[in-house]
Amino acid sequence: MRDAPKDKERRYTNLSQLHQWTHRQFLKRAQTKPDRRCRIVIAPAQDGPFLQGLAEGYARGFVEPILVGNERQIHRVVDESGIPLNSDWRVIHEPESIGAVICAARLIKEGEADVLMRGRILVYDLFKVLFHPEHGLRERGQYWSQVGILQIPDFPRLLIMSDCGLNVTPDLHQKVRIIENAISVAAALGISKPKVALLAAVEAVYLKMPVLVEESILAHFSERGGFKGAVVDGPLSLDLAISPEAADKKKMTGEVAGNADILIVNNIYVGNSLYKSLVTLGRAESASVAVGGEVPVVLPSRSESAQNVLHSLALAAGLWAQREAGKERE
Amino acid sequence: MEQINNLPALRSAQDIIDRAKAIGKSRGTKRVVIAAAQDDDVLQAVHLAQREGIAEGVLVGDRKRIQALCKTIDVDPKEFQIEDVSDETQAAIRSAEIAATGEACAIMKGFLPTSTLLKVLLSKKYGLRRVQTVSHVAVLSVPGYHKLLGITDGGIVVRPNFEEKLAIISNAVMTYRAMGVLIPKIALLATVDMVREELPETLECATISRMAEEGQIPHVQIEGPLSFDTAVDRRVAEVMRFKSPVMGDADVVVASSIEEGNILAKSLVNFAGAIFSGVIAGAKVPICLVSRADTVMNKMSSIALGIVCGAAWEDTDLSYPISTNTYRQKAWL
Repeated sequence: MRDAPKDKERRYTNLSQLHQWTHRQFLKRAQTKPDRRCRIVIAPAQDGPFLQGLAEGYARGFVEPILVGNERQIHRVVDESGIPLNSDWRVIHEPESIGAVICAARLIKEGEADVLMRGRILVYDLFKVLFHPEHGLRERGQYWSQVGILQIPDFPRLLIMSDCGLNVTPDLHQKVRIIENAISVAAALGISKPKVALLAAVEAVYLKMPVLVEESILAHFSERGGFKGAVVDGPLSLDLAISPEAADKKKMTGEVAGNADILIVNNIYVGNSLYKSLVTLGRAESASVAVGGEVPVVLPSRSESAQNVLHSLALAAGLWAQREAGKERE
Repeated sequence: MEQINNLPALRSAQDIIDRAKAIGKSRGTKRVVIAAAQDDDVLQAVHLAQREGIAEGVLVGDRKRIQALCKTIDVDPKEFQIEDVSDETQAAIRSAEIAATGEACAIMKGFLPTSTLLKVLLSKKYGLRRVQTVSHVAVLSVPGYHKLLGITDGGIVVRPNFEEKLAIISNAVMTYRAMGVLIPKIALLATVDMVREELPETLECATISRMAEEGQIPHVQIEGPLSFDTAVDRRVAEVMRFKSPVMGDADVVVASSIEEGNILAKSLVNFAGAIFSGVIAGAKVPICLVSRADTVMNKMSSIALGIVCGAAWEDTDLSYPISTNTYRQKAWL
């Protein structure tokens, strides 16, 4: 049998631990800075479940929502779904959706908001703005990617997945960035030396299939110390990555097989279907953010439940608080 | 005799097994020929299928090794009809011949590479070739989904081009018609529900959708591009601006690549408690596969699915039009 993870390694089993982690980051930040909520700006804001999640985050005391969007539609959505819209929430009227995102990005640049949240807009349109040299929130040498954290019923630990919603067909360089971003989120959560599985249909390397070749290169890159603070292995099929029994049966060696913390998919089609299969038929709960820019972006998929939106808010707010606490120390 | 296509639609893995048994009762137990049967998992599966009255096995393979393996899994080798062919390729060819005569209605893969078996099936010499492209159809019985969910192709075609995608669809249609779903609802997966130039896959999906609308692809309802949740989750489908009968009620989802199909099926098996059965469709007879990781239920339902397809295809006109060049409205059963 495979070695069980050692005690000192932190492993999360459910998303309520994520909320506790967020709480700890706020406490750490408050040691050096005036304690306050995380100001999350949503654009365009006219979306029922998303606003519901924000309201819940507000009620729990860690979110201060800023709503940018079509004011009339916002009020209609709020009335329809009975969301307790508080009078001290800031609402900015910006009827056009791209305009709303530009406005939200400006608020962040001017230091009036801390975290951006995707509203009722397609991810690609959102990131067209965020990649923009003038309006965008790109950080030099960094690369945006989506990172999802899933709590799956009857599965013993949280799984981190990337990239399920942003990069369409990343090339080798972009994949390195995607892996690094996922590792950085794991590190932020305190998961030491995460095991990263590069997913494919098979674990053998057929030179005719470019996916397998690319993933072998990345595994080799990792072997030579290319990824700090993580072990990366691939290609691995999904069952080999997550099931120790399957890994034993197929006699897969290596630390990652059967024990993966992070799953990296080859392209968005794979990632999106995997993520959605877990959320719909797998009854999984999830948190989803985009990282790699100036600020984390709350990135729930459309039609996500208010519960999952809340998880995503907690993750993004926690990352923000941690970064703020870290800045002070430097 | 009643046409198998016209029996009620199958809804779960147990239904597939029951249907195979019922076919056995009304037409005599159907036979499956096993190519290179020297594999303990395969022998066990055939043993189970014979015991349950799902199928009768004709074993083509290395007799000595089969007999030795039978001992290790505690099965009496006398219960099998064995034809001694030790070479893999020869075993594949012999199996194809047996299937071509109609003596067996399905082929099962034993201890040989899938490619060896497929080469024989796709060769014109052995009389089993139907179309250029064969593909894998995974049929999943998922708790929480109201019908059997088909996923294709997670096993054979690596990155289907346009023509191959049409073939994959037609192979899935053949499989689903055999299961009594006469107009399967097919969702073409592409992450989003609209055509976006950033996602080139959506363009192809839209084209195929349009072809189906025009009646160029008979006997299906196709919708695409769709995201997975729109295809299978009614609550998501309800809030969408446009409506389609496929949304929230898909029989089959067509993946954009082998990785997507494979990982999607494995996700549902590992995380959603799905029971997996699968066939390779596209030849005149289906090919069943079982793997090491399969449970008893998996193995039985996989063979049963092969039998159901094999028996249904026996009385079906198999000339389902699949090429863009020869596409035309055609009376097809």
